Amino acid sequence: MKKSIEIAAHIFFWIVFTLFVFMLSKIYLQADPGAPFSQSLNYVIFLELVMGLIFFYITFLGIPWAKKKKTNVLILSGVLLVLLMLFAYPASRIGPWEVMSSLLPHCIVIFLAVIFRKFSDSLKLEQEKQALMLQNARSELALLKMQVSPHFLFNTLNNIDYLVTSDTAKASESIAKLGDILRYMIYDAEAEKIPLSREIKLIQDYIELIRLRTSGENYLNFSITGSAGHLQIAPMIFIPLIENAYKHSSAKEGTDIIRIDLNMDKLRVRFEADNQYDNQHNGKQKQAGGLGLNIVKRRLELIYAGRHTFNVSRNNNRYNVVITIELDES
Amino acid sequence: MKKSIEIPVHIFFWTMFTLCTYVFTKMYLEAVPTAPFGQHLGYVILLELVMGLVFFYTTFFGMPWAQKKQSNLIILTVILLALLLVFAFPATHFGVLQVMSSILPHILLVFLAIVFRSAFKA
Repeated sequence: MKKSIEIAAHIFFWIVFTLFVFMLSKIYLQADPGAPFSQSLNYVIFLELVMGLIFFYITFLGIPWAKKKKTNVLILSGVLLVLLMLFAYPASRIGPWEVMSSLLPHCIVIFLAVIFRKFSDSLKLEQEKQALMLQNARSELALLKMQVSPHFLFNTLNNIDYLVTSDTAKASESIAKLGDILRYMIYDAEAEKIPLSREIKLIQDYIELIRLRTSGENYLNFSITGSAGHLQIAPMIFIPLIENAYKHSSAKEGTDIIRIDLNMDKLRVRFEADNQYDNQHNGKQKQAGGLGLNIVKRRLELIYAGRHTFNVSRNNNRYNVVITIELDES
Repeated sequence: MKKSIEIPVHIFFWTMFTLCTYVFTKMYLEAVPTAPFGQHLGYVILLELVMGLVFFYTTFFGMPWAQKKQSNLIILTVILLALLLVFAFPATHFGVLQVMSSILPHILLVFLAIVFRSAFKA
């Protein structure tokens, strides 16, 4: 892309240059039909173009080489000076204005070659900058994904540890679920995007794990509306929020303590995690939940820049997080 | 550092441009002493310099603004086109070549302004 811009700029410059030389020569030769080469307009233009190309590309291609050593700069300058004098010499037999009319445009061409070289370097630099930014974003994303996994694993193991002593059957069931989730994390979550249906399956498995520890089915209400169809999503986007909702719920028994809603409408997916909390936990939730929330927020910014919303609110002892994302189809 | 390079580059460019305009105009007026404004070399050069500066710096300073919105880009293009036509209009009384001799250098200047802006951006 950048190379094609550069080539197009060169072609455009030489077309305008040729037209300009043609027009100037034509006007001058019309005004002074007795001028040397007045009968050979094409030859004059060709000669001017060749000289222009020589000056331009010796400078343009010579600069990277000249930058390497001071002696190279001297050699390049010497070559250009010799060429300037060589091409201006025939004009010296006509008059000083003709010498100037040879020297000045060639000096401008050399100067423009330097500017074009700077332009080319600047395009390259911009390309490198973009590649570096992409690389940084990818590294950051990989790092964020790595942060999600231990965070999740740590909390789940805590759940199982609790069950091992109280209900071994449930503990065994939990380990099986955890196995499913780890399989997902190892094989599926490596991909940049996965089917939304797979992510929903993970959420369901995870919620099953949470329910094993809670007082009943109604402790956590999970609802899905719409169809995942062929929608694709970045893996593990919603899990940290469910983790947060469970971890920071003020009551570990009761009904409607946590509400998770997932709504799909065409390409748009809306996720809402709502949990009960009390003001005493407010500060704790703000601090401890900060990591999970920040990870999700940062990942959304990197993957769905300009295509998502992320809102957190606290009302009447309820902590509420709503995310909407415009997804892609496979 | 960047600004300290950029400003001398602009000054050098406009010095060369003025000298070039002076040499070509002088040569042309020596060949055709009866040409319009033949007795006003200084005025012709000043006019060429002012027109060149207008095209160059309208593009040069307009580019960052034009890159913000597509409508800005259209406005800048229209302004430059209108300027091209306004400055080329007096030449239509003399001939096609004279119109071209007004339009082409100004197109080249607009193009060079874009190259200058991009070259010192990074």
